[in-house]
Amino acid sequence: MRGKKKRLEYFSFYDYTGIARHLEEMAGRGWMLEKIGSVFWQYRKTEPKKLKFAVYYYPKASEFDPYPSEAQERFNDYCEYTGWKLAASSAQMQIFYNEREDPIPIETEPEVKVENINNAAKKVFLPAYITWFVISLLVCSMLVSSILGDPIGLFSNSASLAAGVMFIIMLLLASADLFGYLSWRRKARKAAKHSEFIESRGHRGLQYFSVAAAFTVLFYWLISVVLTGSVFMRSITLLFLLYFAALFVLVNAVKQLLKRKRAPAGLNKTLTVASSFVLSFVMLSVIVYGTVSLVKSGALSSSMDDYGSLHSGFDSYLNELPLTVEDMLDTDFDGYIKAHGASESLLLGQFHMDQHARDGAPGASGAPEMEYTITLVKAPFLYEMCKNQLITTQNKTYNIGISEGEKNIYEPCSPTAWGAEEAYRLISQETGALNSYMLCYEDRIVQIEFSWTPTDEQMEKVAERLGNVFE
Amino acid sequence: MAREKFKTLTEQMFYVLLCLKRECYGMDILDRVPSMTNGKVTVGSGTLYNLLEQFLEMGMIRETKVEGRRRSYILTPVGEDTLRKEYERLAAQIADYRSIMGEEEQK
Repeated sequence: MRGKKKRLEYFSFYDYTGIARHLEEMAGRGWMLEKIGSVFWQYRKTEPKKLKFAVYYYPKASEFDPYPSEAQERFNDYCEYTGWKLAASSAQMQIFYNEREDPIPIETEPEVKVENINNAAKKVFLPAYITWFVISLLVCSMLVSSILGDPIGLFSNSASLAAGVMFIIMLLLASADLFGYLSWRRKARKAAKHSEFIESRGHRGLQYFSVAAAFTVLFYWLISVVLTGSVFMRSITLLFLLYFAALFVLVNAVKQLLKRKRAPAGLNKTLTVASSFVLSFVMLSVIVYGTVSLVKSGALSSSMDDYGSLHSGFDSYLNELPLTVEDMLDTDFDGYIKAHGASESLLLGQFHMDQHARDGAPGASGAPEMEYTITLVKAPFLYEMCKNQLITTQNKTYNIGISEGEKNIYEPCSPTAWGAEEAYRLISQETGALNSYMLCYEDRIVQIEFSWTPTDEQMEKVAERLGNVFE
Repeated sequence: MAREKFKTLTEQMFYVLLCLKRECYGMDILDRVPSMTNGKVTVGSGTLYNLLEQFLEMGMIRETKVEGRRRSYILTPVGEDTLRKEYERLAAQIADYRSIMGEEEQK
């Protein structure tokens, strides 16, 4: 590929001025556009030349066309007659260059130009961007509702958080392009009434910032999975990344193959869309079947803990449960089910442990039981938000539909014995204090429930084991 | 809007139609219009292509010959009518101008 280079170029669909200006600069530096690919634009090295570029939108063209239609060729002939040669094209966008010093522009009638671009936009750009805008707006509103209602769930799951931020980026881009286009069209139509052309204005700064932000988010997600995920999570993430990459390459290969085989545009489109469904179904089935088989065979044994419960991130911090019933008191009962689960990102982690007597086990009735949830707040700005969520969930959400006088609510209690900064105890309005507590330590909040009333010594042990569990 | 679909014509629309009073290849129009107007009016290749497509669609011109990718066109009665209406509109403007400015100049 000596004498060639590929660049990631990001332009708004209608930014004919920006595209032409950029290509003129590239040609001036000795790089001539020769191909527009699915991701990159390809340039070849030439002598630096002062060329004029123009972008023309051919509404009837499609990315599935095996070759230009006769009408399109006729249009190209007209252009060539006036010195405009086709440099490259991508679907409706045709890019021409002219070596003449002062060529007659391809478009000399502003009204015709605006309506031509609008006809092209109505076919692909507008439906795609409106769909993109509506979907990202819906997802972003769900994200806002998650931030307000379940910040722990959102921030402790790096995949949800990364997906949420990706959709914010998508919403920004879709809004900028969509409203930018509508604004350009309004101004261009107004100017055309006075037989004037206007320049287009893209959002290259925002677009490159968004691409950089998207890569940063992707990087954050991968680092989160690598640092906090179990082997199971890491394997699943790798598989899904490969899945998306393979799907993109394969579907694109189907489209290109059909183009090379000169399949009509309609057939190509149908087969390409169908292949994307079939390939994604087949590949997902293989991933699910393969994962289940590996888990069953024990090759992905770390996905199942010793207690038979699926978990994702506890291993990264803990090799064993930090606090068990046996640590708290003497018991001969050995018929426990111990389960734990975790959800964790670089910002927040939530770990749950549950130790209950197995039904039917000898001595199960009356066996001491305990469960706790640790919310580890790694990003201090999230602390208050998490505390409020935990209190609100207990005091409001869990009491929905329950009459006053029958509710269970957290009330402040002395944190001293727990070695905590703040402590809350669950109070039943019917029966009084329950053995369920919420303890606020410097960087974590512990919610713990016992089937017995803990002694001061046991409270100290909770502080020692759970208050320092991640240090 | 394509000016209420040719209710009135721009200079370029007017001259493209005028060229097609005689049968003519599309590409030749690119030369004929400037020579007809002493270079005052030029038509870009994209604009010409678009106008021909729209004139065909509106039945204002029709294809006469197809030689490979080359096609020739000629004005239809609908096109002639559109051109005549535009001429009358311009002539009325000139008459209005004369009736006002002519009187002024006489004074």
